[in-house]
Amino acid sequence: MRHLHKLYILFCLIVYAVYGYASLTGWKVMDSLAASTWTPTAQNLHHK
Amino acid sequence: MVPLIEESKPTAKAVTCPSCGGQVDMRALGETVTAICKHCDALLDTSHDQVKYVTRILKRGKEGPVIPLGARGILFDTLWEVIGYLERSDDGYPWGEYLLYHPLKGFRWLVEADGKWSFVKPVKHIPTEFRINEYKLGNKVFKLFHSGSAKVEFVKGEFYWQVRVGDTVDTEDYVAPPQMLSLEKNGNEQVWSLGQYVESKMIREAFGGGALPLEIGVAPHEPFYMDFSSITKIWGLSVAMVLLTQCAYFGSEKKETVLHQGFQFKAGEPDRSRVSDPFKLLESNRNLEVELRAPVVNAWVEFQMELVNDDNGKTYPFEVGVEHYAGVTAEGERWMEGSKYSTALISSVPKGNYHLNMDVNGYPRDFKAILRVDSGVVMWSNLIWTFVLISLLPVLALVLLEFHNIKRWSRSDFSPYDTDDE
Repeated sequence: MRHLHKLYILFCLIVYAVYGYASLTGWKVMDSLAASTWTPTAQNLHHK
Repeated sequence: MVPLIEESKPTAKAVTCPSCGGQVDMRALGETVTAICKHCDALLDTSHDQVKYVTRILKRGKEGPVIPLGARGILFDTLWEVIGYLERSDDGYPWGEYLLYHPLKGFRWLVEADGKWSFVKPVKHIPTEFRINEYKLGNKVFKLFHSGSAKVEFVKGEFYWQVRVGDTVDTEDYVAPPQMLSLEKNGNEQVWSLGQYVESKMIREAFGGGALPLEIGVAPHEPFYMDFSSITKIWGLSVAMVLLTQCAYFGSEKKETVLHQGFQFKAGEPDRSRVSDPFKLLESNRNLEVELRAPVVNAWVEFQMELVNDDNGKTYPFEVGVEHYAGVTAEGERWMEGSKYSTALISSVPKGNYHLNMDVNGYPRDFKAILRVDSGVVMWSNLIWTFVLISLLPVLALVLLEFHNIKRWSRSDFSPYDTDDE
């Protein structure tokens, strides 16, 4: 428990990386997580 | 580490008990003034060359020391030797105190209560009274935890003062985890000492692998088991980084409307598909927000759409729809639900020439839908979920810290959590 803050640093870095990527690409993360309001992205769309 | 002087040689000297004639090992002869004969439990005065019998120890502790006299262990980079042990109690609540000795550093105490340990040293500067029931030592404020008395129940080994079973002093304990400031009052004499909380694992490592008393509850000065200070700092740094990034993102994104077009639909028409005007995206990796406005009344309409890249033929299908219902209740109250507009977001769209294909379902009446497509839309929702995620652990730690403190103060008559006014 005393070293939990090291895991927390890792967690924050991951969250920040996802947030940074989402900001750069204009990705609305919550829409992708919620299946009912899923919206396509240029990366994950089925290309016809 | 500060070793004991000539630690490889035995440091104990022996004196003869005038009561039973047995040999009594003295580990700090010249520094201590009393000793207990291990053979007959006689209290001996060792302050003079001629050892004198004082009295007999009448009452023995139930368990005795779990660290044997003569044991040596390294605590805080110094090798200490256990030379005395006494048990004290306050209104039936017992604890043990081990007297530690180092020839250069002098005496320290190792106090054990409910399986929790403290390393206690004398205080050089007398603490100053800060507020009612609070004392200040250095920059640290200690809060009163307990006020009572300490009665000697059992002694063993040697001590630097005349100790007898039954000796009683008034005590006050002030806490600021991981430290405890203790005051012992005996007549006009006042002695302050400062205890540092020590995990039992550290005691076991220092003095060998013997069984230590079971840990019960939370000690008055036991620190929170999470590094709350570090967690708070990391949280603050993360929030600052995210806010700075959001500011940079906000400054760099320029929302631009690339399409704003109306589409007329007729009731009963067989083909309800439409194609938008072409539009151009000048920058890559920007999002597109498609906003649909349709004046539906107590109905829904859904647009099956495709964003088509005219340069390479790639398509990005998505749906956007609106539904809106309104009416009047039996009591005459108006009600309304749904909305006449809705949005869909497509992220990371490459630059190029595009148009929209759409196929409409529902609402078989005449209506005009308005489509607006914006590029580079700033999203605040990402900032919100990021903030929520990085705040989860600090919030959890804060709740657990509160529980820890409630438990820590549970045996105090001066608990700040005690709301009982009686």
